[in-house]
Amino acid sequence: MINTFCFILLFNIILFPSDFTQINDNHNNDSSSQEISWEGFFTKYQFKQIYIVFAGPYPSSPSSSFGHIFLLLEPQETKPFFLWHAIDFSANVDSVGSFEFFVKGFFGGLLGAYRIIPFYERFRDYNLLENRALWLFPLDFNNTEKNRFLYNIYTLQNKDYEYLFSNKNCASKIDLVLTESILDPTEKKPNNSLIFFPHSLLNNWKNRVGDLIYIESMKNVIEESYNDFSINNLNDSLNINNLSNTEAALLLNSLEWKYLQKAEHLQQEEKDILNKLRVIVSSSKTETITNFTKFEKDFYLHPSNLIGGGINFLSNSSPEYLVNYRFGLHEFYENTSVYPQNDYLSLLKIEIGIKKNKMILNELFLFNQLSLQPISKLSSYMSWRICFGVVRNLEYQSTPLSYGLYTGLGYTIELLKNRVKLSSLLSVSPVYLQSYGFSLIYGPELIVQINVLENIRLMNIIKGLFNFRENLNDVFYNETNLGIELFNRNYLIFQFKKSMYSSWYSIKYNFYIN
Amino acid sequence: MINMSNIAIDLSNNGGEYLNTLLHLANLESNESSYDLLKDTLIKSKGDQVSFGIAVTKL
Repeated sequence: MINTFCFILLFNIILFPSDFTQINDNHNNDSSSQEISWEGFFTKYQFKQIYIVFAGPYPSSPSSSFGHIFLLLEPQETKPFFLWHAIDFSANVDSVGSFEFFVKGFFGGLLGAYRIIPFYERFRDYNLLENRALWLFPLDFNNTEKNRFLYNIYTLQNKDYEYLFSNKNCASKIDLVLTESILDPTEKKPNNSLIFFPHSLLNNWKNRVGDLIYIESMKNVIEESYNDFSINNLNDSLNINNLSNTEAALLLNSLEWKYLQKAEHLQQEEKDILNKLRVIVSSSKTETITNFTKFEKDFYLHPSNLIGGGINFLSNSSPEYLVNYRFGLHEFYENTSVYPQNDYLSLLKIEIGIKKNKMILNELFLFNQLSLQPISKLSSYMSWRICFGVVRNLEYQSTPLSYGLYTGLGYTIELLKNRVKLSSLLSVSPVYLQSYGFSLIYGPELIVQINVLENIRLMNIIKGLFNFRENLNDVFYNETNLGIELFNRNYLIFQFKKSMYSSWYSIKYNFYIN
Repeated sequence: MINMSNIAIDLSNNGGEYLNTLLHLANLESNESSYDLLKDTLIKSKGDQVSFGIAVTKL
């Protein structure tokens, strides 16, 4: 039967498009499945159900900022969830440094491969270590399509292919192998765009997927559970004998999560507490802390491209029309039902002012990330900003352009849950200021974020700016942004910027394009 | 691979994904006697690492 199927397959598939162009066999990959015959492979990996899995974005790593896609195979026989097979396409980074990975990821030179890995490895990496939620979409494949898919993977696995962040990545390569497995040619959608991210893949397969399964990140689950927990601080937890069994279980999960985040060996004292807690917990019934929960919101991944326009009223000049474009994850005013709420990231951001016959660059960022993760009982992540680009400076006389790096470091606290956050950063920016020269601008910065309503968000930034140049004054700067989400995720933004030299009032209308 | 703490929590409830995974890997039935065996082993090891598997003897 398997032989007959194999014979049919040889006639059906294997005319792979150019994106399947193999570079070389990945001889370093010590995978047992590389050696096995098609019949053995089929027997080992045949499955009942295939899932597209979306691992939420991991903004700490630029290459993971838009999330990750992999596949999960539910085997024919009943097997624990963690022992299911995951299939992904990922870059080979074993001998590549971080900077090299970043440069080659954008411009070429990285290699990637299809790999079959146990799901527990992926679960541990994404859910536990990187605090990413997982969304599982059951894909409706008939038996022939399932078999075609398996044969494609058998043929493609453990060989090297070109890898690019933009369009030769986890999402595009998984999309390609799925597309090559389906029978109906009218369903095959082109996969040759310059940018292909997880939302592109999910959009391509939206008519084939069933009800999603949601797995919240362990960190969020533990933090939510703390509401009814009597321990205020993990460091106060040494008197563990007084805890109820459910509290002990939560503490055990929390401590283990916390220690896992530290890339170092546990101290003997920490290890002893964990060991003792395990014994206590196993002895009597607890309320299990589970991260398999229902996803209450709509699953929606917005496109990475946002464009818009508006008008800018300047205090000491005539109004200008604005055109802006953003390629990235999102900004404070956008609806982020799936993307992380505390990280604002743009890989390219440009705004141009148009006045009569003149075009003025207001800002051009090649990278702009502001991470404002609030501290909690469980973690004390720092808040930070890294931007690289050019911006028109209202802070100084004649609104010069400044070219350079803008950084900041500090902490965020949540004053009112999901409503009010306050961040305090110390910013340091080595820049070249047009008509003034090089300078190091530094100073404190206060950011207040208020979610006024579900669709109305406010961000206020107050800065004191000092510098080392004699011909530049120390200044005070205030910026207020109010974003209103209109129908269909279109946004109206009111912006007010004021320094001691000038002020701007602008209104913008922004929307997504695919 | 398998998280010891989650197994301890699953043991307290006589079931769960982590416990099922361990039982499957250790080729043990999912029943009371397996749970008791694992609990005893965990207590004997004082909550530290436990090795499961088939002993291989070289002659």
